[in-house]
Amino acid sequence: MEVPTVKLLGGLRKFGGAQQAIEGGTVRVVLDTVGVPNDLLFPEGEVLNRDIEVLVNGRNIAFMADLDTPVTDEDRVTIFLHGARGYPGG
Amino acid sequence: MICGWVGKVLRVDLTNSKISTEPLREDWAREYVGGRGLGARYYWEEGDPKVDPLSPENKLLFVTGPLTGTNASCAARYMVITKGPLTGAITTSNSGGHWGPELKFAGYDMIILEGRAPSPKYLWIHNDQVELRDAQHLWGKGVWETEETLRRDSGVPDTIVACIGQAGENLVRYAAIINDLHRAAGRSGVGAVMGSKNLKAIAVRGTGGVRLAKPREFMSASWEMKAKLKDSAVTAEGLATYGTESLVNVINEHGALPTRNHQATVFDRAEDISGETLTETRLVANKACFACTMACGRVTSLPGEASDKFSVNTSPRNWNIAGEGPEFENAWAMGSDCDISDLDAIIKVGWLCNDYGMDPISYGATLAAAMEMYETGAIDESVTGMPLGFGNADALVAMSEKVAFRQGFGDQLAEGSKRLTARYARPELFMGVRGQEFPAYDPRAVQGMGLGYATSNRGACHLKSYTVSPEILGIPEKMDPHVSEGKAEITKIFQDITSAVDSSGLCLFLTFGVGLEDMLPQIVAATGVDYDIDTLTQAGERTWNLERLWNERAGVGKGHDKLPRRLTHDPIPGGPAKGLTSKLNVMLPEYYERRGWTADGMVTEEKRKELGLPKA
Repeated sequence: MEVPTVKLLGGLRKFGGAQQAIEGGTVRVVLDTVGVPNDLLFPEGEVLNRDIEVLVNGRNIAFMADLDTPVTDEDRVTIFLHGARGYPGG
Repeated sequence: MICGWVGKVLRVDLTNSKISTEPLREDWAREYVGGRGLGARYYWEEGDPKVDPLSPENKLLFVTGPLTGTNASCAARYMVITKGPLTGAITTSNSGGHWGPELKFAGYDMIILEGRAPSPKYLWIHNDQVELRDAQHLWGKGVWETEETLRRDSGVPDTIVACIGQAGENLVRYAAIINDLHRAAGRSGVGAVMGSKNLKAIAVRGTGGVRLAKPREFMSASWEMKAKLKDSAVTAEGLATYGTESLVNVINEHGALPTRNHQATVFDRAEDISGETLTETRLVANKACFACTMACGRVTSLPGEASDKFSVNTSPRNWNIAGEGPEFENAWAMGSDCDISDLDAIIKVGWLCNDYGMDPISYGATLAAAMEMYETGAIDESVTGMPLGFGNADALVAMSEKVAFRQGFGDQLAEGSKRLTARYARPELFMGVRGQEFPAYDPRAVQGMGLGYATSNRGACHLKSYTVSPEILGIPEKMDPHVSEGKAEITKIFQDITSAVDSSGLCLFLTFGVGLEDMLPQIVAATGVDYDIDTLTQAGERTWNLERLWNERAGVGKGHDKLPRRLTHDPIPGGPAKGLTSKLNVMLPEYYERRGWTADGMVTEEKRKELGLPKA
């Protein structure tokens, strides 16, 4: 079983602590088991909440294989909620 | 006079103690919106680009926007415009709190300060009563005591004060102007300019208001924007809960947090100085500026043993009091950049920076450069007076006082890292642009920020084109932070929009939750001027180009859009952005082209005419 390290930031920590080892395989599997409520991660079904970013080893999964990005024991998954809507930001 | 404005400029000749008022240039207010743009237009007319920034000939402007003092969310901002002693460039430092609105309520849109007072003075403004008063008793005092003394002695308890601390008096090149004890017009040394004029403070009390062209429409638009702010997780909850400090972990996880003077971009103890840790261990409450609905301010305490863990002569004990901060930039500059993970030291020095009145970004980054010089043998303890290797939290605390008072090695640190590194023939260790130190995002890991830094008119700055939005947060669309493609276009757009927001009197942090299109109806309803997105954005572009032209006359325009060699040639040694360098050489030509400038970065005559810019 692949067990990557998962790090939750900010307001997501209430769902699982700062850092934990969770069953992996792909990002999708990690998100299924990380403890963050599914309706927060996927409020509209299959598409990841636009307010949530997922990194694998510091790279946003949007620039890899998205939810199908593979993760192994060696990998670190970071999940954070930002909720930014406007731009250019502060 | 168009609404949103009082229509009156206060001019103070400090040399001759002459105070006068004059009508606000309505044509300029229309063209440049207000705040940063309007100030730049006045400064273009009156500010000699060749002048010594710390001479009486340099002028110092405090400028509000048309929405400052209204009940639009976050309508608290005022802008300080002058020639920066750190940079030699036009500087536009803005602050929140309550001072800007109070100036408007007193009946003035802006203040132009000229000359130098023969002895320390403060400016007293109580509606129509405007006086220069003796400040000998305040000279040498910190910001907090100055504010409290002025408020108490005035007999007007609601007096709002903007002032300098010892750093401004002693002409520290990154001295700030502080209002409401903890809110800063922080960068480029605007506090030193105020100190050079022998002006300790501007104390204001006003009982008027702001005229609105269409009050009903304004209120409706204001509520619409408030609803959107409530709908955004960051402006509704994130900033209130964790403050900007929440970015420490986010940026570090991306491998973009400058560490040890940009030698690395991952800080292994980031968690210790993060917003999460601050909130769990040291946060007392959050705090808002005038009309703010986000409240990102951090009221912090150092309880128990932490109270007296660090001390300096001016602040031997903390007495369990609470101060404000740190913000993300404090935590980075005095934390990872100095390889320091002691949050209590960072909190303490953040408070001291507010009390001394100096910019914690430039202080921390200058200290980081000094630490690298120390570790590589360029300087030793005979110069610094104490061990100054990376990670020395005691030195971080002690040196802050020495800088503010220009004591010992602090006198050299007070010059900023460009001058410091040049003094010891190590200019390659200066990490900044136009003499100003970088903020907290490494340009190799977030490519757009490198272009933004290099072209920022006031020197390296994250607040002029925050491409972290698309590159890290995916707003308005996700852009890969590691590539240079598309960054010239987005940087130009962000610079123009940001200039417009900065001119309105609104806080830039609003743009975490809403866009310029959400602010527009309030600007239109307040002023009665029929702006649309295009004209408002063009006003921002006009401001950007005017600042650039001013810098060109000052000798810090084209040819100064550079990053340090470390960032363009030394690959990041490890972490998520390992192997990357800044591709500024690729982005810059495209940026000039999109700006409509010459290939070497000059504003063309055609562009000048298109934007209706004045001739030199």
